[in-house]
Amino acid sequence: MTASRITGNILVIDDDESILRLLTKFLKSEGHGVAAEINGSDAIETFKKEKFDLVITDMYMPDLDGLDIIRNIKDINQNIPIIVLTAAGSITNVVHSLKLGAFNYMTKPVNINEVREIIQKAFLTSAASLQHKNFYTFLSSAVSVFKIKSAVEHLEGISYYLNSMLAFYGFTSGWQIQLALTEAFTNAVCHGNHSSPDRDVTCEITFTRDEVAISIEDEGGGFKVPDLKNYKLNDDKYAGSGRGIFLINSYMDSVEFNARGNRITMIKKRN
Amino acid sequence: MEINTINGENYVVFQIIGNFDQHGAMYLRNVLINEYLIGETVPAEMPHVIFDFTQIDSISSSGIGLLASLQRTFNKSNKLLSLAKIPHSLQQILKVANLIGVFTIYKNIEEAVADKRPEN
Repeated sequence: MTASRITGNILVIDDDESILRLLTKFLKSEGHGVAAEINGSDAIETFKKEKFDLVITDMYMPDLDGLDIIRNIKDINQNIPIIVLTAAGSITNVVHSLKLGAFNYMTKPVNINEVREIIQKAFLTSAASLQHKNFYTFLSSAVSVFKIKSAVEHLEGISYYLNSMLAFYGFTSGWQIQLALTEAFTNAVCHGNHSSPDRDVTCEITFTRDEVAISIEDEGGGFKVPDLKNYKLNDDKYAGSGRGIFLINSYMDSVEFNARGNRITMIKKRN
Repeated sequence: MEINTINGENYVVFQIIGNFDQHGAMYLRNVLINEYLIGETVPAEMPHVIFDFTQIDSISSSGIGLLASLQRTFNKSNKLLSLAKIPHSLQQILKVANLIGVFTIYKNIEEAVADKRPEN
């Protein structure tokens, strides 16, 4: 019995026209929809406009290279599998691309059987995660509370946790939420607690079906609570202050402070 | 955050690697003040400064604040400062913070290096 193949829409990016033609012809013969781009910047624009299930990108291109492509595409859609094409022996960039979230890599010259196998693995993995994609609809609430020593280096740990949970609960606006956490945590450590090792920052993250709420509380005296609805950046574009709270307010759906001004609660609704 | 420096004939590229947050901004500021700037002044012999964001993981308002403050300092001295290869997220942040027009942004290092804006 022959196993049925999964098909999907694939964006192929390579500055070598012969490889682009070869892959396009092969992928179409396998039943996939294919968009081919010879230029990285055009590929990003195409990715923004159309719906794709998989991206195959060359590593070395004159405009945007494979690493740029991965960063840009993962910024737009964290969950899409990306396969990197690279010359044999370029292990450093392969490792970097995997760290950035690439699904797998293939070495040139491309082996058609390998292409078929890796694409099927990527689609199977996506299908498996799609099966669990709606698991969050059973969620009432998941609350995590961290009491963290006042040091900016702990941001990395809490960011890692938040990022994992955002992916698990299927949130797509990850970098905006991460940015809000970074701003609020850094403010609590540096300005609320004045980086005192004797003070803690309490970080409470609550996921529900519809939203994620992040509360950051320091042990300082509290700030004057800003009027967020009418909050504007300084007319001097180069001025340093106020940009953090402005970005939080821009990217989160709701931002509130407690009366003392030492606790910020930021909410992002599911897209 | 790490910084790789590449010195060219009339330019210097700073490759920003990792998280350009408050720590990263302080580190970059110290590197610039210790090795390139005279206090807050840009010396006359300062080459074209290009920040390469190919390997950046994230940026916070502290990183953006430093870039804005450096841009102002360079403008005052009529010296060149450019950003290159900025990821989609950074473009969005600059747009939201109304800073897109403040910086000269290039798609790649080659275009930034070829910048022929006049200096004093």
